[in-house]
Amino acid sequence: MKERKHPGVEKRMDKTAGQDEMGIMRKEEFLRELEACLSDISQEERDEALAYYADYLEDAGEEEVSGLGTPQQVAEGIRVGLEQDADVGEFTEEGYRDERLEEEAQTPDRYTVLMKKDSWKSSEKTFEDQYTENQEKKENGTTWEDDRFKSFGKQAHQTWEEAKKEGFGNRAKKAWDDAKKSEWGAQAENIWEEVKSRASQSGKGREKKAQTTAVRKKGSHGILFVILLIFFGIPAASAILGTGFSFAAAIFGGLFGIFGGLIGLAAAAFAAAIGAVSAGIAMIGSGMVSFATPAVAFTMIGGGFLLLAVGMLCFLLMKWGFGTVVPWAFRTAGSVVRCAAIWIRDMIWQMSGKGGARE
Amino acid sequence: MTMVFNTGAALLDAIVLSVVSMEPEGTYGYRITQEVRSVLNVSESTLYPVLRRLQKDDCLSVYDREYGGRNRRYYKITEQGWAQLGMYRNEWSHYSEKISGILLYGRTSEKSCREENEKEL
Repeated sequence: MKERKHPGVEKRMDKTAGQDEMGIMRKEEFLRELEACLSDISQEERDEALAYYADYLEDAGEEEVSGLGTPQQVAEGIRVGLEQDADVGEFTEEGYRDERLEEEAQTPDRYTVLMKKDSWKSSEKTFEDQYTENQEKKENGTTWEDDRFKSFGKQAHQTWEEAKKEGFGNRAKKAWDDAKKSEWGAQAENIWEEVKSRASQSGKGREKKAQTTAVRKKGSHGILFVILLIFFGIPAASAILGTGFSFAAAIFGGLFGIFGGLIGLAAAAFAAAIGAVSAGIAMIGSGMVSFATPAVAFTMIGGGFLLLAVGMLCFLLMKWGFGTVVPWAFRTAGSVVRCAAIWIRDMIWQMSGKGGARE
Repeated sequence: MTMVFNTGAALLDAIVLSVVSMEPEGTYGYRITQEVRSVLNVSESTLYPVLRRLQKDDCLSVYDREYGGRNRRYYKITEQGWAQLGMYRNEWSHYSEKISGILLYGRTSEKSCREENEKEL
């Protein structure tokens, strides 16, 4: 195919000389106009398209020329097709991604060509086998997406991979600049949008999404923001997180102290109750036996009953302590810790959110 | 014939691959266009970008063959094209079954579909 340049056009010129003048003129005209309309695409693409339409018109007969539409329309279709080729895929953190092929990991593997002609008609099993194999291949990381790099900027992907290794810093910027210089700007823009959206989404809550969208729309300012976020945001976030954790630990420790105290108090109440009750009984007993001096006996018995009452009170106190106060303390501590966690999270969100808003 | 349902790029790819795959020796642009247009109302100039893309993706290979005193370009399906077509056929059978299920038979899931098939048997 390389050796034929405008093959159809030339052949037709030789061959059709002296035939139906009208038809020839229309075909010639059509192809010439088409060539003019395609002056903005590469030589190779132009030759391919002209060869195709020369063939097509030769096979169709001249009445089909009008069926194709105007050369301008045909050229527009070719141009859109070329643009779509470049737009279909995009580079992501996982490498090249083509949405058309990605659904449900259905991407076929060129090394797993199980599909022979008509085999799909005979059994459905073949499909399942193929699907499973593809799935396995995909897990092993050898899909034909790798091969598809060939058709879309391989260089872009390399730069991207390097940038990834070095933490999306200067390399990412460089990749962006390189991409802008070269032909596949649109694709690079996709990469960039992806980096930006991931960077900003990871730091922010849903409520900030609208803001970040606005930020992203600002374009080049957004780039600076992402770089700043990556370089300073991560250390800052870890610092905040660390502080948060120490706070949480302190609160936790304090709460444990209070628990200990509460439990100790309850236990003390229990001990006091037992002591008071036994002392009360002992006093009543000794009062009973010392009736020789009634005053002493009655004082002892009275004191004994008093101690018994105190003991009962202590029992009640202990029951209340263990049954109500300690569980309540646990519950409160739990919610305090939860609140603290939420507070810390909100603070992180807010900080990164404010960063976005400022931009 | 007017078209109510859109034909997406993937479906067009699938149809073109299938048409080309039917000719072991390959087939040429005009004929492919005729075949596709017999089932789908696409304009005559729709298929060049599709064929070109499939060629670039190594799903189709091209070669020139002498015909009537001139060279004619032929398109032939590649191994990768077969794999891609297999994927498309697989996807289509699932997709069309599901759509038909809900559109024509009022079934909402593959499970209920299977149950009904078993009942019928």
